[in-house]
Amino acid sequence: MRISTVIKAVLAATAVTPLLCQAESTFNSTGASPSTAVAHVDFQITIPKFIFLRVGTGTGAVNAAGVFTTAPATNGAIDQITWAPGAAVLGNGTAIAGTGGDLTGGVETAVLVANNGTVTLTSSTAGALNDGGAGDTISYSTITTTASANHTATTLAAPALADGTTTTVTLTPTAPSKVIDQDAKWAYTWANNIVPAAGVYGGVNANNSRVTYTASVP
Amino acid sequence: MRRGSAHGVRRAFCAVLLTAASHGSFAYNVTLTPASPKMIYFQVGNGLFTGGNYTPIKGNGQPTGTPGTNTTINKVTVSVPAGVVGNGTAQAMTTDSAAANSYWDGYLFCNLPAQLYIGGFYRTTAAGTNTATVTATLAASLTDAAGDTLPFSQISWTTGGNGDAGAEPFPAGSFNATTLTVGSIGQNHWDESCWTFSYANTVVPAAGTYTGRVTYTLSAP
Repeated sequence: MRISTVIKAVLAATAVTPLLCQAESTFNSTGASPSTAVAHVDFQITIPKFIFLRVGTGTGAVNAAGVFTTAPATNGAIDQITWAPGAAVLGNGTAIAGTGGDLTGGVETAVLVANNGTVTLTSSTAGALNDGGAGDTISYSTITTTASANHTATTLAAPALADGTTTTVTLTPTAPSKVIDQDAKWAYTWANNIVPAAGVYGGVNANNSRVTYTASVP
Repeated sequence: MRRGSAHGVRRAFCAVLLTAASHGSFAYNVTLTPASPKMIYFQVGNGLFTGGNYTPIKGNGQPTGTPGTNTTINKVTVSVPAGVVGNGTAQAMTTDSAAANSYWDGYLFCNLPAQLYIGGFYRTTAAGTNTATVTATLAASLTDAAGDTLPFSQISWTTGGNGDAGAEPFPAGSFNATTLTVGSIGQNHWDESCWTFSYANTVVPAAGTYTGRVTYTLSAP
């Protein structure tokens, strides 16, 4: 009696269940209605680890979602930010915006995109700005970098400038993401709260003029 | 109907078949003679016919070859170069499918490794106007071993085989939903297309190898 019940159940299920075959080619000749054949395809996309950093003139921009609107590429241009305060205002404590930068007015575009977790962004200098042989100096601590929003929801913070050392900003993706995609406008301002000796400090890769920004990802 | 096919026999045969058919497109779809038993054959990537192709058709309406089951699941892959991740330039995907020739007549239909064959037939014992539809089901995203995700919607495809012209039975599309209709086969038809997949590359995913399986289902009434 129990066996009979099971057989009936199987037959009933067969009668109402459409025949289904699974493979990547399938033929079905049972005449069942409806009849079904199934195949599969596996998709695979390999994404390499990469990191992109732009400070100033460069190639690569992102939109509010952190998606590239200009394709990233290597661009060897190095911008120069300069100040030339007038004698009447020198050392009066009123900060002075720089000139130059890809956005002009001493403002640089900054973009950082990476896809493998926490990013460290550093700035380093060889020492205080100096005027060459005279030995006079202006400390990098008198130059402030102010980050303001450009396109992305999160503004890319700028590491502070310091004499002969490295400062670090740590950027941690919001879990579960491992992607950092941030940009900003970095505005450089000189504090003008001292009266240095007359002279030209720094230059183009001279007299400790160059700041090196480095981004790294695990 | 193939346009400009060098296979005169195939072209002539199709022309005869299509003369009597009501099918209006000019991609590769041909009308079959109704025969018993009712049968469907569905192939995505590698397939199997033994003893020959469907044509030439025997006097009793049966195909020369016998359709069979091939359990190989093909892959469609792309490895994005480091310098272009997320730059918006679409990346061509390739397949490991070996199915270049159609089992309809052996014609070199798909170009490997760029194209993936999809096709088959829906034959019934009498004439009719039903349609067998092909649906794709998939997850919203591909995933990697670390659990990172990459939207399936980044993958799209174009369609067209050698010698084709006009509307395809399996048209171009993209994985913009987790269930979508991707084509159809008319009653008593052999329909086929070749798909060329592309990765949009408009997002920056975490580094990793992302995989995902799409299930294609041919359902005949």
